[in-house]
Amino acid sequence: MKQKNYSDTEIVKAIQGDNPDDCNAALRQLYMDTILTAKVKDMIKMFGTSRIDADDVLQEGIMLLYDLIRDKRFQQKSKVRTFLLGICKNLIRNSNKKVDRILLNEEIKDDLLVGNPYETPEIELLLVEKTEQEDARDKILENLLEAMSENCKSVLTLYYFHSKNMTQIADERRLKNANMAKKAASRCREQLRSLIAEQPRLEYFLKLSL
Amino acid sequence: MNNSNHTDRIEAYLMNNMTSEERDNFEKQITNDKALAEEIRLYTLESAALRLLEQKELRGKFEVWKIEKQQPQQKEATVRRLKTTNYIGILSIAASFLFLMVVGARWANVNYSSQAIADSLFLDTTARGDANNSNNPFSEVAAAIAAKDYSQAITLLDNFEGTDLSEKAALMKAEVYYKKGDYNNAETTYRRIIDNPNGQEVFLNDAKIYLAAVYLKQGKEQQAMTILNTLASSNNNRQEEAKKLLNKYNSFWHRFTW
Repeated sequence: MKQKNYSDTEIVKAIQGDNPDDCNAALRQLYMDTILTAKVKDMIKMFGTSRIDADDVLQEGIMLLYDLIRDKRFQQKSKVRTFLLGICKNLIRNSNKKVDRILLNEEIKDDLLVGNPYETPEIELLLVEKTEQEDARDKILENLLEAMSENCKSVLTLYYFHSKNMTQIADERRLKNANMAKKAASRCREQLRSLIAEQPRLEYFLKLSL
Repeated sequence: MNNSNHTDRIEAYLMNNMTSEERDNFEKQITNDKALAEEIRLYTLESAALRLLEQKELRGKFEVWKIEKQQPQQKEATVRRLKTTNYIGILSIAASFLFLMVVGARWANVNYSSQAIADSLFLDTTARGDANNSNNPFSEVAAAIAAKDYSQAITLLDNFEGTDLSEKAALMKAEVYYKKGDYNNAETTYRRIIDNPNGQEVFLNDAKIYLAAVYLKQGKEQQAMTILNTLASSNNNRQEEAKKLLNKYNSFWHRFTW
C-alpha cells in the first residue's frame, strides 16, 4: 500500500496531534527518506567519521526534532528536512570528539545565535554530551520503568504522549468505559510516583534532566 | 480548587505558559503550600520518567523501521551481487567456451583439415630410402628433397626415365611437385602412372592414394573421396591407409576445420 507523503506542515501537525499512527507515519517518512539518508552519509564522509551509522544519526536527529516539535519550540522558520539535517550535522560533528549520545540544549536563546539560523539551522543548536550522571540516571529509570506493568506503561504513554482522552484509552486498552480508563491512568500514575519515591537517588538525577 | 485545575496550573507553570503575574502568584502559593510544592516535585519527576518511557517506545519503533529500511538495501545488494555473479559467471563460461572453441578448432585444423589429411600422406619418407645409404639409388634424390632443393631432385629423377626404376622415380617426382606446391604437375605425373597399362599394381595404388591427396590440396574433395572409397573398399596395399584417411575426413573434428 502506498504511504501518505507528509508535507512539512503535516509532519508538525502529525507529531503534535493525538493520532499515534499519524505521528509514527510522519516520523517513519523522515527516517526512510532516501535523500536525507544520502545527505547524512555525505556529511559523515565529509567529517571523516566512517564508524558512525547514518541511520543511527538520523534516528537521534529525528528524536531531537520530535522533542522540539512536541514542545512547540520548532517554529517552522526553516524546512523540517533542512532543520533535521542541521541537527544531524551537529550530531556528527560532536561525535568526532566523543562518540556518545548527544542531547539537545533546550536553553539556547535566540540572541546567542550567530549568522542566519534559517539557512544553516545547525548553528541554532547546541548539543550537550551525555554525562556519566545522566547515564546513571537513565539506568535507574529504565529499571524503574521495567518494574511497571505493560498495561500501565501503555496507558500512561497513550495519555501523556498521544493526548488520548479517557474514552479513546478505554477503546484501545479494551477497558469497559472512560471511567475505567481514568481509574487505570490514576492507578498507574500513582504506581510510577511511588516507584520514584522509592528511589532517593533518582530525584537528584531527574532534576538534572529538566 | 479541583484536581484538574490544579494539574493544569502546575503544567502551565512548568511549561512557562504563565504570565509573569500568574507566575509570581503561583510561586507565592508554592512557598506557602507544602503539599503543592511536593506535588510539583513529584509531577516534575514523573514527567521526566514518562519522557524516558516515550523515548524508549520511540526507539523500539526505529528498530523496526531500521530493519525495514535495510531489507530493500540488502535485497538490492543481493540482487546486484547475484547479477554481478551471474554476469561474471556467464562471461567466464563464454570466455572458456570461446577459448576451447578456438583451441579446439585450431587443433582440429592442424590434424583433421583436408590439407592436413593430404600432408599426412607425405610424412612417411621410407619409400625414398636412406639418403646416406650408398646402395640406395635414390639417396641423392632423398638428400635433395630433405634439403628442399626440389629442382635438383627433379633433375636427378629425370635421369631414371626409361630405367627399371622409372615408375618409382615418377612417384618421387610427383611427390617433389607436391612439396613444391605445384599440384597441377603432381596431378599430371600421378595420372600418368595410373594410366600406364604396364604399370605395377603397387605403384598404381600408391599413385592413386597420392593423387587423392593432390585433389584434397586442390579442393577437389569429391574426386579425392571417390579414389579413397575405391581403395578402402578393395583389398590392396593402400586399403588401410585409405580407410584411415576416410575416417579422418568424415570425423566430427573435420567439420570445425577451414
